[in-house]
Amino acid sequence: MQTTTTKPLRSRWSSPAVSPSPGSIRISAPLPPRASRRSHRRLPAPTRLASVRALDGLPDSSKLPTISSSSDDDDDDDDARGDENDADGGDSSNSSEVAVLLAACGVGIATGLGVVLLNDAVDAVRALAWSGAPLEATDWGRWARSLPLEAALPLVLLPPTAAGLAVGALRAAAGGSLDDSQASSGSGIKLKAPLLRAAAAALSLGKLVEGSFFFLGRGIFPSPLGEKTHPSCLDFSLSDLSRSLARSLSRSLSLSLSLSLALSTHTHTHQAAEPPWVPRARPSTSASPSRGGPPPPSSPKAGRGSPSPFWRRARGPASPRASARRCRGRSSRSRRCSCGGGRAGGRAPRTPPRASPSRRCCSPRCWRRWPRPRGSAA
Amino acid sequence: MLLAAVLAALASSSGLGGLIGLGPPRVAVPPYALPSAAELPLALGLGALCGGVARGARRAERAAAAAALAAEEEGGFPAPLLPAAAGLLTGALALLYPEVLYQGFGNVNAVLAAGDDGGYGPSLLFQIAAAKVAATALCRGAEFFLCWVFLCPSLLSRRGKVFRRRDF
Repeated sequence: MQTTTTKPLRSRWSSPAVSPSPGSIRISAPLPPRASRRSHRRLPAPTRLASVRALDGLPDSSKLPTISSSSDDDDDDDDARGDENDADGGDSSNSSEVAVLLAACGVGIATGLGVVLLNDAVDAVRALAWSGAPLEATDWGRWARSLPLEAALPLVLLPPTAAGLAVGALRAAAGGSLDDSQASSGSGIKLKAPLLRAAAAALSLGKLVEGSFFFLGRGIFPSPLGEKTHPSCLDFSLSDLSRSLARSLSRSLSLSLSLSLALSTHTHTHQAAEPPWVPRARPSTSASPSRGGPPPPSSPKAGRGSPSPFWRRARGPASPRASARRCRGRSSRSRRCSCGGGRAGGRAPRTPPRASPSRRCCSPRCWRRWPRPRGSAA
Repeated sequence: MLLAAVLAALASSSGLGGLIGLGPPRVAVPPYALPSAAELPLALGLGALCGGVARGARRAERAAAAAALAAEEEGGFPAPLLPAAAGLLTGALALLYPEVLYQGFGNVNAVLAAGDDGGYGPSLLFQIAAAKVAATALCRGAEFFLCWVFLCPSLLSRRGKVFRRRDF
């Protein structure tokens, strides 16, 4: 509590005889008539900035010696009441909003710095791997093709292999997998995995292993016949500024989204390791779905049409190897999902599943397990 | 989230060189003008073909993942050496097609800037696209690379030339 002695403010419309007492200061604005408000604009600036009154010892708020702020709006009465009401419970909400804003600023700056650091690391690894390569990346293909085989072997074959060894070492250090969904449940691994994954990405990118198709080709549409292309010229309605801004924003949005997804996935993984409606064992024969509890989600219609929940899908494997682990029992002759949840492509099965007690669903869109609950026909 | 995204864009753009909008574009797209409205339906075929390539890439990725898993669990191949094996195979593929290796957007710009006499014929671009699909599937299957960005393969980049040669 800040103790402040305030000087009573006198005006035509305020009560002059209020003796301030020590207490918290507060901005209030019971408003004068409109003409009077205009007259108070001529007050000195410190007086016009805010009306200050002492809270303690004031019997009635309508008699407060207040001076309006310099607003002409008619809704100042509402603002004044709102200020009075917010003074009690608004501190906590304001502090939480400030905390959220600060966290957003921190996440954004950290993401941007992470992008810069990753780019620098990729450049450093690339410079280490290829010191004799042409600086202009567009000449890389011609330069590599012009190399004799003896020179190309150490320059082209060795760096990806060395990067693979380094990534394998990082993977072993992470506990067997750099993927969060396959990593062991230790919290240390969970915390270390993003850093190790970033290092693996820098290594694999720096060693010129193209894991993604950064290969747009010669444009989606060809240039007109016989026209020479100008690489530095953009013939689009978007300017360079808006294009670059959109690119940076999309990159940052994707990073932020992935970060938030990772956080939510991590939270859900720890909070609900197994949802209650996923049947682990076959229910008893006397149990009826209508007697209570959640309805069985694996009814034929629900199994085919309803998508799995968001958090359930977020727990899904991020790498194809995890998908391959699930699909081990998949028949090569039929690509239908064995649990009746539909094909991997989303089409509903026509044949009943061949149940196996220990078999899990092979479809990446279906997360049900065997054995299925009673009453859900395939 | 929007504030975080904007701040991240500002920080990364200022850190990567220059302020937003002052740096050169990463992908230099050549000028394009639609010659006629008859090309618009061709875009449908282009998109369908891209989807087919993406589906094939996904299947190749799953097959590579299954092969890597089988080699690890049934063949007794040490798991930490799987990325190295994938890197070795990718390097061997790069001896034939160096464009499969990462050069930022350099390969993209090289193909875009090649023009008609740049040395990238339709058959070579088809082969490069197939090699890229194979290399990506290998690296993804062996968990060598954990990122998946599929912009558009070079498979379709010479579509216009093919049609132009047929006076389309």
